[in-house]
Amino acid sequence: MNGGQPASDEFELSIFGPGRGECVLLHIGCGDWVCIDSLVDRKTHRPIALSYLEGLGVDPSEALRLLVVTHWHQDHMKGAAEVLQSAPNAFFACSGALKSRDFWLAVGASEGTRHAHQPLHEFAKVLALIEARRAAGVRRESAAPIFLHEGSPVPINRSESATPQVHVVAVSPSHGAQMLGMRELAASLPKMGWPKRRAVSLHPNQQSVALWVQAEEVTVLLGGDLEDSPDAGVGWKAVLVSPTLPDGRAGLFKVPHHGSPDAHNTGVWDTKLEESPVAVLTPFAPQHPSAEAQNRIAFRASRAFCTANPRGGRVSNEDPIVLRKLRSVPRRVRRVVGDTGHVRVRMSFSVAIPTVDLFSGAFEFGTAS
Amino acid sequence: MMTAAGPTTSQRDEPESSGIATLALGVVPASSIITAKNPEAVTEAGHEKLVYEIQSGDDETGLVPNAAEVSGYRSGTTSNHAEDHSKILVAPMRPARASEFQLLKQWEGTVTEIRSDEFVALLRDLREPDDPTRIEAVFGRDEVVDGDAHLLKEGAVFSWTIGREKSAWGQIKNLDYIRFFRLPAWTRHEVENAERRADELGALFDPERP
Repeated sequence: MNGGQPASDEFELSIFGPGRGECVLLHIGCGDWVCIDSLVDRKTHRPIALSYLEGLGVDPSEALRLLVVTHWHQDHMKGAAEVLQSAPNAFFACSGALKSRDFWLAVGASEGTRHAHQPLHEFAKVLALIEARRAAGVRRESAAPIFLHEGSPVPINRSESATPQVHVVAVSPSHGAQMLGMRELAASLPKMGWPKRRAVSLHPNQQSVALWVQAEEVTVLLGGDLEDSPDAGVGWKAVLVSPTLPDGRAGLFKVPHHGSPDAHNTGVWDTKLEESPVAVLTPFAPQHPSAEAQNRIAFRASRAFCTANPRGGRVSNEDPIVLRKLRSVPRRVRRVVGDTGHVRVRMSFSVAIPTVDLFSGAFEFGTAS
Repeated sequence: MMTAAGPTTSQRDEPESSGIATLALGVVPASSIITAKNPEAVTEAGHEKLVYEIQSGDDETGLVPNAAEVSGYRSGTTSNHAEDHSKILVAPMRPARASEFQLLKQWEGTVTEIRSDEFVALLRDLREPDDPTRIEAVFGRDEVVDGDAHLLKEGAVFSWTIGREKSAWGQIKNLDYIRFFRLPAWTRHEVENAERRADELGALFDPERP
């Protein structure tokens, strides 16, 4: 259904999203792939990155060269450990904001309780895999997390002869964002006598990794979940004033944080994107992207795509009694993780004219006026 | 009031049928008298195995329908106490079977946001733990029983169970109830283990940090 592999000299950006959660795959040439974030498909119960690559006839254990987890929200890292386990050649990179004792403590605590926040469990599994690599004597870059912050070049474990040369640079988190600490972790840190509640939706998005990818004529800005902030030292404002920000403009934009207004910065569109880029996003049902956000993005982009229905799905495949209760007891309900939609953009590295394919509920939501 | 055995006080009862069998042998106010209209339904509901004792009209008991039409029940255990044979007051001596609860759905909810009179929760199906499907539901605070109200905080975990109960008396009800978990507290041992593991991870992956 998804066709064959991209040609050796063809770039691919595939973005998957089921309503909440996202995964980005990049084909960077010569059969080498990069995975950014992970989600598990509800039908196969497997990380979508592995299912998709295998469906193309690609062996992830050979082809995956880098796994980046942009931040530790569940919708960005579920299945990350399985991806890494299936990709012994892949480096693992994550936000430099996680390089803190509080985070190690939260991960350590998660190993001792089934009540911990799921992403912490996932992170604990990732770190255990990396520890095992270290114990097995693999080389250092594969046996330690690579912590990213603004200006960090992101190493990819590929042959020096592989073409084209691909430069991946982290444009966030800023040093200011890292200094803000791990507010979200406060609820998860173990304190004797305190109930083991779960950490919930506070806002680590300013610590999200955003990536700049350049390969010949292809330039991509992957916004992660990075939000803007009134504070010039964090978020997109910090990106725009950073001396480490790569020159140039991107023609392909993974819109940050599901198109939410908090993640919108006009300066990004004015100075770091081509005049009418191709924009792709994943939804975070039921809030994002709103109709206003879709209009805003479609106005600035040549073409804009979303991987799944941003309003979420109806809850319908249940026993009639269960459905009756769902309609009568809560005031509102919405299925927020449904089938995984997929937007695929392919283009030659030398002539960056994109071809876009949509799968499983992905849709185009507008054109520039 | 005679009530069927079942879940806790937070349950919501939803009678599925208004047939006389359910009405007569389920939740019945004390000293009520119900006129029989559908004795066949009583028999079909399996109550022929029950034993009844006819009491005086002011006893706190359940009811069975018209004595003449349920004469099979009367031998040694029932007697007619009223001139109007369609109204008989009886006491169930023992049920023929225990109540049965058929679990239809059980979600685990994590409270993600608390508002003035409602809260938002993300639900996952406990019977399909590998299914990443999530449902976001907004509940009124009044859905939480008083005994659990102090547990309603961001990050709190609860179960929402939906099922069908067939009572000992044959009455079928659709039930649901929300119960908040009393989450275990961190122990000194667990905190010390977490601290030790944090030191290990820091030494492995963040060696510059003191």
